[in-house]
Amino acid sequence: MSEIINPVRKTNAWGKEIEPEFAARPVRERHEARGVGIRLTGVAKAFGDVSVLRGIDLDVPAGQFLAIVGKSGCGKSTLLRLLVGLDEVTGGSIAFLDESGAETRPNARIVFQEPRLLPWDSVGGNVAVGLGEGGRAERVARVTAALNEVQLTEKAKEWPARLSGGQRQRVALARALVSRPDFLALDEPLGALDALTRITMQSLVERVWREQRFTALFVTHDVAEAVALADRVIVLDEGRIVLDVTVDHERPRERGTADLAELEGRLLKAIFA
Amino acid sequence: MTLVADLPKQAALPRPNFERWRSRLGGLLPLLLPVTVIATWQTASSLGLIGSRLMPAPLDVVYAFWDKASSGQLAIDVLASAQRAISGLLVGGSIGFALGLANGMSKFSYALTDTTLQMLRTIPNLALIPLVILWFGIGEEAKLFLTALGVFFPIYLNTLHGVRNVDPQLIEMGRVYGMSGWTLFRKVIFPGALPSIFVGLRFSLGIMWLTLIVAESMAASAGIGHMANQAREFMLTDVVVLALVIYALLGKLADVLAKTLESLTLQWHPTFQKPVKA
Ligand SMILES: Nc1ncnc2c1ncn2[C@@H]1O[C@H](COP(=O)(O)OP(=O)(O)OP(=O)(O)O)[C@@H](O)[C@H]1O
Ligand SMILES: [Mg+2]
Repeated sequence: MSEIINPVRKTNAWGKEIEPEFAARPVRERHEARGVGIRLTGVAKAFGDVSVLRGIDLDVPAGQFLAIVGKSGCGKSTLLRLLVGLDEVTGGSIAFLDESGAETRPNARIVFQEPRLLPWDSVGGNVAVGLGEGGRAERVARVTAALNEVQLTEKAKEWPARLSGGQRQRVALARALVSRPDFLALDEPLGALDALTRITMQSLVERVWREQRFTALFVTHDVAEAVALADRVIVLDEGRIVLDVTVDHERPRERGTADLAELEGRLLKAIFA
Repeated sequence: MTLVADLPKQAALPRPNFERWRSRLGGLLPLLLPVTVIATWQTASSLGLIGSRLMPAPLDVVYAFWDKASSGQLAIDVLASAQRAISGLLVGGSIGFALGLANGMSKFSYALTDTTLQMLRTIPNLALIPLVILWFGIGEEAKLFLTALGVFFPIYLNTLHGVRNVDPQLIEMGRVYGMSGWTLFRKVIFPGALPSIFVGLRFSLGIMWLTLIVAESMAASAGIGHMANQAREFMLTDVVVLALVIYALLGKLADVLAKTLESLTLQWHPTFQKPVKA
């Protein structure tokens, strides 16, 4: 049946479906920032006696795409969990700021490494989770729009179990985007995907960010991915920021150019210092 | 006996040869054995190889059925038994379900009641008959109590198991997306526990009929057990066998109903999905 709906379905050498090329669609670029600014002052987090974050000072301007890299266990997920309110800081403070610099409550969303879809709800129903409770008529339109954004409109009635890993992660992204967040945290959202799917998903993430300009915090263990997507990359080590670099290359970026490779080298050095 | 079963696994891959062979027989294969047994039994009885005192011929059972059905007595007895079964299931099942949910979601409730319940579980419910007779006499209350008690444990244990095994990552996701209380229960916890709750329901249906058979043989003015007991006094083996057949059919019917309900509500579960044609 899917052959009829999607006649140009491509498969790779192992017969696995190749995700469509997102970058092919023109980007409706948005230049003014819409997100919230984030200010962390001396943020610390300890679990019992174990200190995981030891004084993080960080200013993220509204609409910035910030990538966080670092060794496994250095506290990246912990930091994101603090920012979306899943955990409480044990020291310091976190403030979200609007355009005028006044404190505000953000509309924050998080995408995890696993899609975490409700298996008993349809794709559309899962996206609607992102809207919370509210009017029905408008919900359908917004869910459809969000699914359209990740190019899965035709799967709205499907069970999540019937989707590929990449498609599931796209649904999770649509669920996060449907409420038009001004701050999106992504915790290794592409970590579980194969290399080919990752490249197209990176373009998708970059495209929705360019169109919506929310503030993005993107945790990844892939330095090349960080450099390709982010405005700025910070390296975390033993609960501290050990490197903070700005990447001001034109978008969309060409991969593997000499200066990006040089930057990747610097980041790797800082991570394993 | 473990009352907590594993959830249904993914359906096995179809074995092409077996499938083709089976479809040619049109699904009649499962009936082959019972039909052969009944035919042999009938032949043996007609030839006088089996005494009708001990074992009635299948046809005699059919006549007994006809007899009971046309007098209207059968309907009364089946209804009486079904009513007992359903009220026992409703009472025991809803208490088990409620306690399973409460103990699955609240540490306090779990700490307060689970150990006690686990201790009570080790007493076979039929061993309580003498005590139950002292408490309630031999009337309907005693039957209701025994059935409800029998049904209670599988539903309690499997609901608890189901609630406790809902993926914590999904619950965390629900919380980040602003769910709490009733919404979190309705959207995440209950659907996640449902497959396990159905396992409990199907276990408890078996226990429900078993308990009822014994409870009805205590004393009753109507019901399948009553019918069988009366027939035993008058040495009507055909009616006794008829009662057994009806118990079996009712048990099967209840299981089919539960299975249908299960596959309707668990359509999202890979086990219950129609295979996608390649
Ligand atoms: N709830 C918790 N209780 C106790 N310790 C915790 C808890 N959560 C995280 N930790 C500890 O905090 C440290 C940082 O964990 P975190 O998940 O933030 O690492 P990470 O940088 O995201 O690593 P990875 O790249 O492997 O995901 C780890 O040493 C972990 O053991
Ligand atoms: Mg992590």
